[in-house]
Amino acid sequence: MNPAISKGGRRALWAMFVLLTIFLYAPIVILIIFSFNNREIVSFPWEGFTTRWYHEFLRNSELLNALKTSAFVALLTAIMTTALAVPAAIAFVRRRFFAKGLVSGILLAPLVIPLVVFGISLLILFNTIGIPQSALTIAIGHIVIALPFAILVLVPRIERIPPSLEEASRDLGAGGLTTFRLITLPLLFPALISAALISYTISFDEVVVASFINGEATTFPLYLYSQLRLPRKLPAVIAVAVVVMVVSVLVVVASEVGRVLADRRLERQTGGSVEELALSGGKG
Amino acid sequence: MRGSELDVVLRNPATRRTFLRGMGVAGATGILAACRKSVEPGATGPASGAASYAPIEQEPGLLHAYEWAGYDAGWLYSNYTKSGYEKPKFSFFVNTEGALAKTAAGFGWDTDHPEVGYIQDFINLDAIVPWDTSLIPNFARLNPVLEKTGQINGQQYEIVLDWGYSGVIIRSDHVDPSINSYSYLFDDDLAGHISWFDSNWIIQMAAMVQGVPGNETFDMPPDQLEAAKNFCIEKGKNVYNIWTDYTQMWDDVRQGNVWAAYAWPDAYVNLKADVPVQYIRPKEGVLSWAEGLVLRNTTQDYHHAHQFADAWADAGAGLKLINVYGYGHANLDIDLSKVDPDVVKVFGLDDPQTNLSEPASFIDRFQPQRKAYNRAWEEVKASI
Amino acid sequence: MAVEATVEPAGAAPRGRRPRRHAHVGATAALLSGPLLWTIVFFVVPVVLVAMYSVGFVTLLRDDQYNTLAFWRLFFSSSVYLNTPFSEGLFWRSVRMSLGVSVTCVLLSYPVAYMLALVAGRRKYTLLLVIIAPFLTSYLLRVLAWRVLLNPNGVIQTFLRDPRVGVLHEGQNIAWLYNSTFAIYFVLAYVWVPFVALPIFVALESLDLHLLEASTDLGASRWTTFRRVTLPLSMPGVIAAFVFVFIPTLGEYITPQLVGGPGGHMFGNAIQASFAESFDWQFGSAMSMFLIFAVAILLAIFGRYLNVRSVAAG
Repeated sequence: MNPAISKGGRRALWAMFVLLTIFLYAPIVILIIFSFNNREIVSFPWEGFTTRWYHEFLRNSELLNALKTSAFVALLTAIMTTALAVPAAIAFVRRRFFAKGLVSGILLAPLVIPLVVFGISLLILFNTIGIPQSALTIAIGHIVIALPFAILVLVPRIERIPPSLEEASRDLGAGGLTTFRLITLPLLFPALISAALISYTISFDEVVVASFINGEATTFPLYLYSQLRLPRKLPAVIAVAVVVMVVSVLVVVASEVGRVLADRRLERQTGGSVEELALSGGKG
Repeated sequence: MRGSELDVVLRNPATRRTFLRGMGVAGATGILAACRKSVEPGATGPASGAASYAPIEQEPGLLHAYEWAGYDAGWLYSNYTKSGYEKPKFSFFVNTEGALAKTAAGFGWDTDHPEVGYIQDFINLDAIVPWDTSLIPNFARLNPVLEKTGQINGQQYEIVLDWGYSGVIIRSDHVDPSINSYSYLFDDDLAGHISWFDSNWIIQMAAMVQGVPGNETFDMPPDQLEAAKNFCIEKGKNVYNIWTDYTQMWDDVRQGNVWAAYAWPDAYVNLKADVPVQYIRPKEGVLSWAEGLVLRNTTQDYHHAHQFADAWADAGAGLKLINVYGYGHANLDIDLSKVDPDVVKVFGLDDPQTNLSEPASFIDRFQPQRKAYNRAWEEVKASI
Repeated sequence: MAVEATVEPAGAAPRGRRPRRHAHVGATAALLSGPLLWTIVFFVVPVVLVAMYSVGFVTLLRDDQYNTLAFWRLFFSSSVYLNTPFSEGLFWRSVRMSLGVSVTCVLLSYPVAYMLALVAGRRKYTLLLVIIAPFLTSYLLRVLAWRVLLNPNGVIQTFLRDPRVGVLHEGQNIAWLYNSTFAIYFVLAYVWVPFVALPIFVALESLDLHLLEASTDLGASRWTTFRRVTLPLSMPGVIAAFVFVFIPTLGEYITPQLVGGPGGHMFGNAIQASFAESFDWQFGSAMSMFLIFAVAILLAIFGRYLNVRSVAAG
């Protein structure tokens, strides 16, 4: 018998899974449905199908600017975070070093700090040293928040790469940097994309820290937040948020699928001989 | 931030700003001085005199207006856009406290729209400069009594444009209008149907209900403030919600969720056709406000801002403002016969002088203990 | 590619080792310097600044007080923020909120994580993604969705008020559904459940199934196996999940602000308001430092469960 679950238990758990999934997705689906409702208030009754809310946001210059700013900040965050996370993750996996616990504590601490406190601490920092606030300061904060996530995405991936590959490369005469460039980096590539994507997503959606240090810049979540607190035509805003959300879900799913496929490819490759891989590593 | 000499410098606001702007940082954060962006020019230059500002053709032209929600409507400044200037970029605040806080935190804007009582706060932040009224043709048509409230030390820091009351709107089918007092907002009989605005003026209203003369409520001694605050905390349990969005408050009154709400005249104008409502200017005197445009010292669009203010001050814009919101407008040329007579009567728009004078009304003014008031209000919100 | 033959006979180690170790330390420092410096400058230093600001070692605004414990004294003496534990006090209100949300999340997601890890078989990672994906979408949108659904004029209540459904009468509301503490707990649980499933899943997935088989072979029922083998072994994941939700929720203010109504003012709201709605920066800094101390204490107790492994799923 299966020690983990009984037949009845299996049915019950599947049912619970399905219910939870419905619970998680239903509000979003309902929101999407109502974004086609020809009504200014998001509620019953249904007054006809319309796509006008999706057209309206194209005319809203403030909204478009907010989207642009968010994309810029998120891109900056993704690039910088990945650039910082890769060496950190490598150090964690491949190196033994003094005070590993302390260092990992510092690097991972932003995961657990309440964002409101982090936001005001950056506000105080920037005011103390006189840096004017802008999209760049938002990016700075987002990089701190995203860094632990990126490291956590990269660490298991680096662990999967057998150190024997890198040792073989070095035995064959390549220096540390060359080994990294020709062996480790290509193998890490899918994980890099994952890390960059998760940083991008975190930054694009982040509102708390951004609200304190944005200066004159408006990010999309800040715009969305202000619309929730002040009177405006909500359906148009929802339409945009829905579009953004659908795009981000698709991107995340695509990246995960890509990562899994790359995983399988790595497993097949490392199953082969090390010399073959070292020779083929030169061609990336 | 370490060392006694640095501390002395940092304590003095003037030298601290120069120090921080010019020197960057000491100690562990010194590295970042290299990344510091250059500070905007004109921050410490002379405040008045158009001579120090570029002519209008050289200005960037995109005005950033920090405004009350709804004040981005084009008809409020239609002359500005009709003259070919670019439509301003708008940011919104919920109340002026928030606008002040954002400004202190470094938020950049060209014009803001605070009540006159906050002008001194903006000056204290070194954030605003006086207007050059010679650049505003419509200024001569504005009510001088109102414009005086926008002056500090004889300089016109604010172009006062609109005025109104912070009174109470009641559903006359549920509430007895003859009580005529701010006590509606604290009435146990109306429990669950009261709505407050997110402002420390609730505490002032509580004090007035407790018998403090309205003009004294702007600067109460600590024990009085404490008593008013505790009264609010006690009566807070009667509150349905604390509104930040006035159209949501309108909806709540319209649907009968709320029977008595802290409201500006716009609530009456927008609800009177739908449900039986009355606007109460309480017997203790109504707290009223006059607000207008202030000019940021770091603005790059000095002349554009003046054109914007002139458009706001126009009689046509003012007439529409009165009809839409029920507020008063400072322009004396407005033909009140074109306004709903009921609105004129209820809000006394034909005689601002009388209706804004004490003891019928207490117009907003600087709160010397704003921090203590805000802290008290936060405690009220935290205790409900 | 040139091939250099490096002959390393056993025992020749000491001669080649020493320069390698220096290179190693240098390399490690080079690897860590970027991220560590960034985090120290933009995370550790700001927190230190907040602490210093709260006691006036640093001043920023014109009216800031210098070198004073006044704000800390104000915080501790006010009956609003701390007061008698578990009853009054804004901080304790937030603690209750965090507790309620964390417990709910763990209870809801444990069965699902169990199913994915031990029952689902080959499709488990895909299905895990299905559960987690909502968490990666817009937080505000998900709160907004419930705001739109729950509010008296929103989808649910207008539906119930529709004459054909007739559960509610014209003008009648379900008061506790919106602008209430229930709404806060409900929406926050909704937001966090996907995230919580992950550490529990990781813990359950790494279980050695042979242990379970051994337990049942020895005659234990499945329930006993669960209670005495699976559950205890998965506890580190559960605690990690709990702490991952509990700590950030202590400072949560957006959901309380959007769906909580007047009684939904939380500790995070007070901190935010002191910076965004008034000038009480030093007082707000004292409140923030208090929260940091609370978080630090929690981390000291539960920190060992929050290691890299517990959230790094394969």
